[in-house]
Amino acid sequence: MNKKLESLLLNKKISALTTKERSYVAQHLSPQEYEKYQSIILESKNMAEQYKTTPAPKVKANLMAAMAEKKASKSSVSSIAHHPVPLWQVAAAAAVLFFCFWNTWPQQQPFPPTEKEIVYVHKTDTVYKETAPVVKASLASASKPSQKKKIKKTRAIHPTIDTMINKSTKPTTISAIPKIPKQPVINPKQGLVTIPPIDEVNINISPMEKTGRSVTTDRELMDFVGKVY
Amino acid sequence: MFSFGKKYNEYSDEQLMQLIGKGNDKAFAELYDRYSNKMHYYFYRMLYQNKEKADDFTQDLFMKLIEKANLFDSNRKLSTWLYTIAANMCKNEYRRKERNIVSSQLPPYADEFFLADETVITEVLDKKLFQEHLQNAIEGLDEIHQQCFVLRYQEELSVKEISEILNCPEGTVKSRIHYSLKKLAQKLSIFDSTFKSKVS
Repeated sequence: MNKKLESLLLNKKISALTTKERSYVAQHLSPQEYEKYQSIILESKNMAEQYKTTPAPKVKANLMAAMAEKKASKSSVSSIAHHPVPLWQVAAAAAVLFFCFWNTWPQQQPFPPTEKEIVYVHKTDTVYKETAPVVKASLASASKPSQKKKIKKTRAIHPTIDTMINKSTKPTTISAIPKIPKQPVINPKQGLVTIPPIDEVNINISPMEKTGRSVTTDRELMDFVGKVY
Repeated sequence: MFSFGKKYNEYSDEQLMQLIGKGNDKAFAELYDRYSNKMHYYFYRMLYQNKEKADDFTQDLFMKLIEKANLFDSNRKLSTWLYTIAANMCKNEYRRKERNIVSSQLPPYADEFFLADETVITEVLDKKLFQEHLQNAIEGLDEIHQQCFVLRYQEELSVKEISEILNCPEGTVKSRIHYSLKKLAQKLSIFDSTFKSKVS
């Protein structure tokens, strides 16, 4: 409902409208509709003024009783809250509380002492025993490869000791390894000792093979490495 | 704020609400006297003109006021707050009990009135009859339109206040009022001849 139109409906009869107002009303309502709407609005207002009803007296009585109950509950709470307490009583209560806490505090430990417990966890690790084939050839054999007997030297390769692992399974051929001549070494106990050349040490190097390792094999391996070095 | 010796009828609604929150029963009595008749009549019109129901609802409304006095926002107008609660109570009642306007609620001579011809109507027509039919027509409106109409023209609240009470935009309130007027005019079409003669 338009505010201007509503105000005209509430305040002016159709006969009291000015020409301008009439033309404005005509845009929205016919004169008959205007009259009808006005009657409805004004009569509704009159009805509200004429036929006022009043609640039964018991309603007020019930509500006042409820209000008194609320007041009583409020006053009882507030009387407890605002009850005057002598200062010496407060001080005594505080002292008693402090004494109780002082005695009990050291006994109360937030957490009981815990014992260190060593837990052994069996961890199985997998390493690979890899052997790199090395074909050794002396300077002399390099010149005559067919006549020289190949000696396979095998040794265990430990991953921590020998980090240099050639993963290719092809044997590596060293074309010419200079032969270390037999040189006499003076040993204080044995006297003059001749150290054999490296090609005479029987080292068996087999092609790489992947095998699982357990704790027992690891120990054997370490023994072996100890012997070798 | 609460000056000594000031009479309760001099306090504003909001000040009285603060006192009620503190358990002041005299403040409550004052507020009850201010609003009980208004609210009772509102319930009476909205709830099928049943006086007992209006009594019960008025009591419930003021019980809520006692219990929730501390929840009242003092920046808000109390009458708006009361009408909001009342409107919600009516909504719940409508939901609970499906509306059923039976012909028994109409005046006893209504059937004869509707059947009579126009000449008879003009003879019988008087203010009271029109009012009775208007009241029935208002009750025949659906819930939302009835609320808007009653709050605007019988409780004389502003459109803004109604929009706050019903929690809807002002434009919606305006259109609902317009629709309810149109609908009432249709329902009261038996009086058309009267209006024609008046206009002419």
